[in-house]
Amino acid sequence: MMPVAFAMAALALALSVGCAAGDAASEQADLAKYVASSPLEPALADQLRQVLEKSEADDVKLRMEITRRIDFYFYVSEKIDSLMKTFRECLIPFIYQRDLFQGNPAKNTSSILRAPLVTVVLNFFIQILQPFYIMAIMITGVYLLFVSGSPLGRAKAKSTLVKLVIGLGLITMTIPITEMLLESSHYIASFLLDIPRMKEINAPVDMEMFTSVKEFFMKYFLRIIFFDTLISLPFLAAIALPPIAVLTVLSIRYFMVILLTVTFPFTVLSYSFMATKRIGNTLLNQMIVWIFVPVIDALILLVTWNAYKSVPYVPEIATNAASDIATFIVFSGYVMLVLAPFIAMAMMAWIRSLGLAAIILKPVLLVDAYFEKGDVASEDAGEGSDYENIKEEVENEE
Amino acid sequence: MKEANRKSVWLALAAVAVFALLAQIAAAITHPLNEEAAEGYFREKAAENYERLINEKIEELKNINDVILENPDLNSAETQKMVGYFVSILQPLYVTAIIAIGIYLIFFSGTPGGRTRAKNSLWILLAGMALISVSSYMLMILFGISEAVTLTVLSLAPVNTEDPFIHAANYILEKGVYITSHKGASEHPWGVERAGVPLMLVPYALLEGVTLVLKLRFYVVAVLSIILPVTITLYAFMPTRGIGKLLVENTVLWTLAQVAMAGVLIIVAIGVNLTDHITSFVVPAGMRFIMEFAGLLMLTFTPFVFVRTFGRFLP
Repeated sequence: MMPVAFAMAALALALSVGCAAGDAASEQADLAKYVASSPLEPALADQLRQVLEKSEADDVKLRMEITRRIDFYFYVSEKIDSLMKTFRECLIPFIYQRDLFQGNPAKNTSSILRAPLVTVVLNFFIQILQPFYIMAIMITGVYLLFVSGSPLGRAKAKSTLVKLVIGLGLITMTIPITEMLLESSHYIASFLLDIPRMKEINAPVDMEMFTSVKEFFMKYFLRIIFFDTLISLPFLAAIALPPIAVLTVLSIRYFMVILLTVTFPFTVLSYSFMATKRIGNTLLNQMIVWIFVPVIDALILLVTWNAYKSVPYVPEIATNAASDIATFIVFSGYVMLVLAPFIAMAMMAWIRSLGLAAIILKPVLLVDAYFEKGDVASEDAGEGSDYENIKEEVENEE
Repeated sequence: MKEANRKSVWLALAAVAVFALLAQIAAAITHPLNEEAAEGYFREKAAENYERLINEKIEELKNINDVILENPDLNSAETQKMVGYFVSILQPLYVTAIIAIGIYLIFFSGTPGGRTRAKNSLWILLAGMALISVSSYMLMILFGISEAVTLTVLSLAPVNTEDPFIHAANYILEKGVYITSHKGASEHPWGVERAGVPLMLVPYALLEGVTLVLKLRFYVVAVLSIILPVTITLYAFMPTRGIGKLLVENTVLWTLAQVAMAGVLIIVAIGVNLTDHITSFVVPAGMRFIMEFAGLLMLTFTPFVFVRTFGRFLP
C-alpha cells in the first residue's frame, strides 16, 4: 500500500513539473516572438527584451503582464494616430464648413441649408407663423383705424406694424440672409488663415504642431503603462480628449447653424413684439455668435501657430524646455479652440457696448420716427413739440 | 519492534509523498498560466456583461420619441388628490384676504391711493381663486399644445432619429470591449480590464444621461403641476410675485422643453444624414462618430440651456 502511494505521488510530481516546464517554454517562445515582431521603438524593444531575459525562467506571469500592456499600447497608439490624422486633415475644412452655404454642382449636391430635409422644416415653421403674422397685422390695423388710443399707444402700434411687415419679408429670405452671413464669416476666416501664406510662399498654418502634444503625453503614457494601465488613463485622456473636444465644438456649431436657421422666422417674430423682444434678441445674438465662431477659431489657430513657430527663436530658451514650452503653447491653443464660442459671446457683448447696435439700429429708429409723424406736427416743429416728445419716448422704449 | 519501526517509516514516507502530491496540485491550480486563464475568463465575462447592459440601454433609446412625448397624467387620482389638498389650503386664505379687503374698503377711510390698491387687489384675488380651482385644466391645455407641436416636429424627422446615438455608443463600446477582452495570439482572452472598463462606462453614461434628462424633465413637470395652485397664489400677491414669476416661468419652460428636445433630436438626425452633402473634404468614420457624440451631448443639455436661455420672459 505504502509503496503504491509513494509511486503515485512521484509520478504526479514528475508530470506536473514536466507540464509546467512545457507550458512555460511555449509561452516564453510566444512572448519572445511577439516582442521581436512588434514595431516598438528600438530602444524600448531592447529594454523589454532585457527585462524578459533577466526575469526568472518560470516568471510567466510577469511576461504575460508585459505582453498585455504592449498589446494595449499598440492598439491605442494606432487609434490615436488615426484620430490625429483625422484632426489634421479635417480641422481647417470643418472650421470653414463651406458645405453649409455652398453646393457642389460637379457632384450635383446642393448646400446643406438648401437640402430638402432642412427646407421642409423651415417651411413648416414659416407655415406655423404666417397665421400669427396675419393676425397681428390685422389686429394692429384694426387698432390704428378704429380705436382712438393715446398718441404713445398709436406710435407703438405703428412701430409694431412696420416691424411686422419687414419681418414678413425677412422670414421669406431666411436662407439667403443666413448664407450671406456664413459667406462673410468664411471670407474673414479664410483671409486670416491665408495670412501666413501671403508672407511666406506655400507655408499655411502647419497642423503638424498639434502632434507635439500627442508626442509629449505619449512618452509618459508609455512609461506609466508598464506600472499600471489605470494610472496611464489620464495621459491617454490628455492625448485624445483635446482633438475630440475641438471637433465636438465645431460639430455643435454645425448643428446650431442649422437649428438657428430653421428657427429664424420665430426669431424675427419674437423681435417684432415688445413683450417677446428679449427672446428674439437672444436668438439673434446666438445666431450671429455661432455663425462667426470660425473667425475666432481662425484667429486662435493663427496666434497659436505664430507663437509655436517663434519659440525656438527666443534666445533665453536654450534647453530642451523649448520643446515643452512649444507643446504647452499648442495645448493652450486646444483649450482656446474649445472655448471659442464663449470668446465669441463675450466679444459680441463688447461690440454691442461700443454702440455698434446703435449704428445698425439708427436707420430702423429713423424709419419708425418717420412713420410716427403722421398724426402730429412734422419733424420741423423743433424741440418741445409733440412729435419730438413722442419720438424721444419711443427711442427710450427701444 | 523492528516490524513496527519499518511500518512507521513507510507511513512517514507515504505522508511526505501525499503531502508533495497535494503541494503539486495546489501549485498546478495557482500556476501563472492557469491564473492568466482565470483572469482572462473574468475579463471576457466583464466585457460581455457591459455589452449586454449597453444593448439594453440602446433598446430603451429606440423608444426615445415616446419618452419625449410623455407628460404627467393630471387626471390620475393621486395627482388630483394632491392638487385638491393645496387648493383646500389656499381657498380659505383667499376668502380671508377678500373679507379683510372688503372690511377695509367698507369701514375704514384710507387714502385714495390705498383704496385704489385695495380695489385692484380684490380683482386679482377673485381671479386667483377662480384660477387655482381650474389650474389642472389650464395645465392640460398647455400639455396638449406642447404635445401637438412636439408630435408635428418629430414627424419632420428622417427615419430613425435615434440611429446616430446608437452608432456613437456602439463605436465606443467596440473599442472598450476590444481593450478589455479579445482573442490574442494565445488561447486565453487578452486585455487590460483596468483601462477597458472606464472606456465601456462612457457609452453607458452617455445613454443613461439622455434617458435621465428625459425622466428628470418628466418629474420636474409633475412636481410643478402639482404645486401650480401655490404658484398662482404666489404670483398674485405683490410681496411674493418674484418667486411666483420664477415658478410660473419654470412650469411653462419645462413643459415646452419637450418641443426643444424634439427640435434638437431632428436637427441632429438631419445634420448627420446630410454628411453626404459635405464634399469639401472626406468625412472619415471617426469624424462622423464625433458629430454623433456632439449630437448626444447637445440632446443631454438641451432642457437646461432652453430653460436658462428663455427664463425671465414674464414682465
